Amino acid sequence: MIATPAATLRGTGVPRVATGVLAVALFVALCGGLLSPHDPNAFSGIVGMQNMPPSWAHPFGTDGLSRDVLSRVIVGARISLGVGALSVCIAVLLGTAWGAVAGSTDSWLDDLLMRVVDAMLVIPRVLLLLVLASAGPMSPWKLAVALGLTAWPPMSRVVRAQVRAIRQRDWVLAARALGASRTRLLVRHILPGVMPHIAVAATLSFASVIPLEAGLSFLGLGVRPPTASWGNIMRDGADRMLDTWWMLLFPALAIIATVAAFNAVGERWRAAVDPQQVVR
Amino acid sequence: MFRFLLGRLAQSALVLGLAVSVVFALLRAAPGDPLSGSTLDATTAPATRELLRRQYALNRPLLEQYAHFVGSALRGELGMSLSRGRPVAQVLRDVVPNTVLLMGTGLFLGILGGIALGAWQGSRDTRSSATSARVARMSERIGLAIIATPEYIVATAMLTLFAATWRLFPIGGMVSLGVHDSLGPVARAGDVLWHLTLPALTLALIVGAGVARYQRTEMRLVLARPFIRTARAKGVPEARVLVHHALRNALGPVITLCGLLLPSLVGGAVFVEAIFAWPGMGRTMVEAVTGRDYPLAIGAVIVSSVLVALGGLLADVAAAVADPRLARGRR
Amino acid sequence: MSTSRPLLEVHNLTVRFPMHEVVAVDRLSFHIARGERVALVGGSGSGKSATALALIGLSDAAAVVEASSRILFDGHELPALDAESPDTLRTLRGNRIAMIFQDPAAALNPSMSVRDQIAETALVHGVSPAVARRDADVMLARVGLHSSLGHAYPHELSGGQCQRAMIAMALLLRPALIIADEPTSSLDVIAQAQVLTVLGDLQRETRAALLLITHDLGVVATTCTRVLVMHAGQLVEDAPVERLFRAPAHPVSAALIRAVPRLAVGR
Repeated sequence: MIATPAATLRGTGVPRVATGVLAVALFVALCGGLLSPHDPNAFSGIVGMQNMPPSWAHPFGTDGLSRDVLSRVIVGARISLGVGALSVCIAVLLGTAWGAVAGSTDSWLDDLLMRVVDAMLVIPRVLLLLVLASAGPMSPWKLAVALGLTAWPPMSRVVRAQVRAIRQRDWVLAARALGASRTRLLVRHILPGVMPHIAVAATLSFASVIPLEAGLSFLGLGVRPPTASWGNIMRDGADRMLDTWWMLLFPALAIIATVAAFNAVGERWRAAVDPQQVVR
Repeated sequence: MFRFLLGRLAQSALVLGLAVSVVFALLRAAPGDPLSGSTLDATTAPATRELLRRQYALNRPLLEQYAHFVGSALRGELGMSLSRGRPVAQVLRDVVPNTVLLMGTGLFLGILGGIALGAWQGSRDTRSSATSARVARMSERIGLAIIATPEYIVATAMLTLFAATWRLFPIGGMVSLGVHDSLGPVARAGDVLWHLTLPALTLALIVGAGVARYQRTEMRLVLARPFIRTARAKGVPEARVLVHHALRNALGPVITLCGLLLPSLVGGAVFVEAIFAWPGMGRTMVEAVTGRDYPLAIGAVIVSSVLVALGGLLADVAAAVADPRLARGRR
Repeated sequence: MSTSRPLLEVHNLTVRFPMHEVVAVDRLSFHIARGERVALVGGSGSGKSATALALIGLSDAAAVVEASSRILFDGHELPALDAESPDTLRTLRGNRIAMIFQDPAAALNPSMSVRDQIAETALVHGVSPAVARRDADVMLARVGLHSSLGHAYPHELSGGQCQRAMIAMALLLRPALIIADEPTSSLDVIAQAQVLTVLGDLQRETRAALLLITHDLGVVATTCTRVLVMHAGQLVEDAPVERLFRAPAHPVSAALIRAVPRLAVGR
C-alpha cells in the first residue's frame, strides 16, 4: 500500500477547521444585526470619523460615510450567504429536474437537453450574469435568481450521470418489473440515491456563487449600497486602495475563508461519496 | 485525426448556435430590451429610437425575432452600439485583439507554469529529499489559497502591491497615455509590454494555481501505475521517467480540463480587465452593462462564447495529440 | 557454468513494512549461479515479489530494507537502498539485471509504441537512437511479433503479445540475470505456453540466469533446475527440482505440490 501524499494532505486537520469556519459564518449570518456593535447603516455624520483605520472602538475601521466596517461585514455575511443559499436552492431545483429528465430517457430528448447544457457552459458565467444585470439594478432577491439561473448547468450534469448509473441497478430493475410508474421510479427509487451527489455539488456550487455575487457587487452591478455585502464594502475601499486597506482586507478574508471552507468540505465529502471520480 | 477534428467542429458549431439561442432566451426573459440588428441611424433622437425599438419588439412574433437574431449573429451583424454610436462589430474588432493578447499571454504562462509546478509537486514522494517535499507542500497550500480567492481580489491585491505600493508597474491601461503615440515602434511595443506584465501575471497566477492542482493529482495517480515501475526497472533515469513516462500520460486529462476551465477563465479575465483598466472585451462588456448598451453587451457575449468554443476545440486537439487513443474514439 | 563465484548472492535479506508491522522477507539467503534457472515459489503473501523488487532496489516506497541485508551481484555489493547510490543500480537495471512483470498490459506505457519502449532500454544505456531502433526490430521478430506490430500501442495487443514485447524489452541488452515475476499468471494457457517458450529459448541463447517467480509448480517442473520455497517471508526449502517433487522436505512444499492438478491418465 502506497500512502499517497494526497490522502495525508486531506488529513484530520483540514475539514475540522473548515467546518468550524462554516459554523461561524452560519452563526454570524443568522444572528446578523444582533451581533454588530454598531448600526451598519448609521453614519455619525462626524467628518472626523470618516475612513478611520482599525481601532478599539471600530475593530475593522470605518468607511467613507463613517459607518462601522465590522458591523457592515457582519450584516454583509447575511446578504452574501443568504443570496448564495437561495441561488444554490434554485440551481439545485432546476438542475435536478433537468438532469433527472435527461437521465431517465435514452431518446433524442436526452441529447437535446444536454446540448443546451453544453451551450450554457460555453458562455462564461460572469458574462451571462452581466447580461442579466443589464436589465437594471438588482435587489438581492433578483440577484439570487440570476445566480441560480447561471449555476444550474453543472448540477444537471451530475444528476444526469447519477440517474443513468442508478437506473441500471438491480433494485430499480426490480421495481420496474413490479410495474412501478416512471415518476414513482424516479422519485422513490432513483432520486434518493442521487441525493448525496446533489449535496456535494450544492456545497461546491455555493463555493463558486459567493465570489460571483461579491464580484458583481464589487463592480457595482450587484447588491447596491446602503445594503451591505462583502463585495460592495470592497468597492468602497477600492478607490483609495492602501489608504483604506481595512475596507479591502476584512471582507476579502471573509470571502476567502468561507469559499475555502466550502471547497474543503465539499471536496472531502465528494471523496467519500464518489471515490472513483478524479477531477471534475 | 481529420475525422475527429471535423466531428468536433460540427459539435462546436451546434453548441454555439444553441448558446446564441440561450442568450436570446435570457434577454427575452429580462424586461425592456431592444435587440434587433436594426440599422438605426446614430443621429436619431433617443426618444424616437426608443419608440422604434418598442415597435420593433412588439410587432414581430417571437419566432421571427429569434430567426432574425440568430441570422444577424451568424452574419456578424451585431447591431449598433448605443453608447458609442458605432457598429458593435467595429467596437469589438478594436477590443478583441487586446483581450486575446492578455488572455493568450496569461493562459500560456499559467498553463505551462501550472503543468510544470503540478508535475513537480506530484512527483514528490518518500524518495525525494525532505526539503523539496516541504517546499512542495508549502506551494500546494499557497496554491489552494489562491484558488479559494476570487479573481478580482487577486487582481486588486496584485495591483495594490506591485503598482500602487511598490510602483513597479503602471496602475492600469494598455498604454501610457499621452506618451505612447510619440514613441518609436519598438518603444511602443515595450510600453504595451510593461502595461501587460502585471495583468498577465495575475491571470497566470490564477490559471496556474488551478492547473497545478489538477496536474499534481493526475501525476500522483500515474506514478502509482505499474508501467512506471517497469520503466525504472529498465534503468531509465528518474528525470526521464517523470517526463517521458509519467507526465506524458498525466498531461492528457489536464489539457482536456483546461478546455473545460476556459469559460470560468474568461469570466475571471473580465474582472482582471476591469480592475487593470485593460481595454479589452471584458471591460467593454462591463461598460456596456453599466451603460445599458444592450447590443454591445450581447455582441460581446457572443464573441466571447465563440472564443471559448474555439479554445475548447484547441484543447481537445492538443489532448488527442498527447494521447492518441482519444482521436481514435472514446478511451 | 563452472565459475568460482555465484552470479547472485543474497545474505540475510530482510524487508519490513513498518506501517503495517509486517515482515515481508525474513532473513532470506540464497545464491544463483551463472546460467542457472531457479524458481522461487510460495503461496500468496509469502514474500516472493518483495524479494524480487528488493534485488533491483525498487521496493515499495513504504518498505524498509534492513541494513543487515547484503546483496552481491557478480561480486559487487549492491546498495540496499536506491537512494544511497542511484546511479550504480540504474546502470545495472535493464542492462545486466532485467525484470519482467505480471500483467503486461498494465506494465507497458500506454502512450508509447511497443517498439519505442523496447528501444528505450538500449537508449538509456548509451546506445544511439538508430541502432536502438534496429535492435528493437530484431528483438521483436525474435519473440515472434510481426514488425508491423512494432508501431502498435499496448492496448492494441493481446496479453500474450504484450508479455512477449516485455521479454524483448528485458532481454534486449542480454542481461546476465533475468527476474521474471509471475510472467504468465494473467495469461490464458495458450499464451502462457508461447511466452514460456520464447523466454526459455532466449534464456538458453543468451545463457542468462533466470529467477522465475511463480505459484504454478507445473511451470516450474518444465522450466527450472532448482527451486526455492518461501513461506511467510522465510526460505523453507532450497532443492533441485527432481528432489523437491520426489521428496519434499517441508510441509509447505508438500502442500504446494499436492495443489497441482494432475490429469488422471489411464486407470
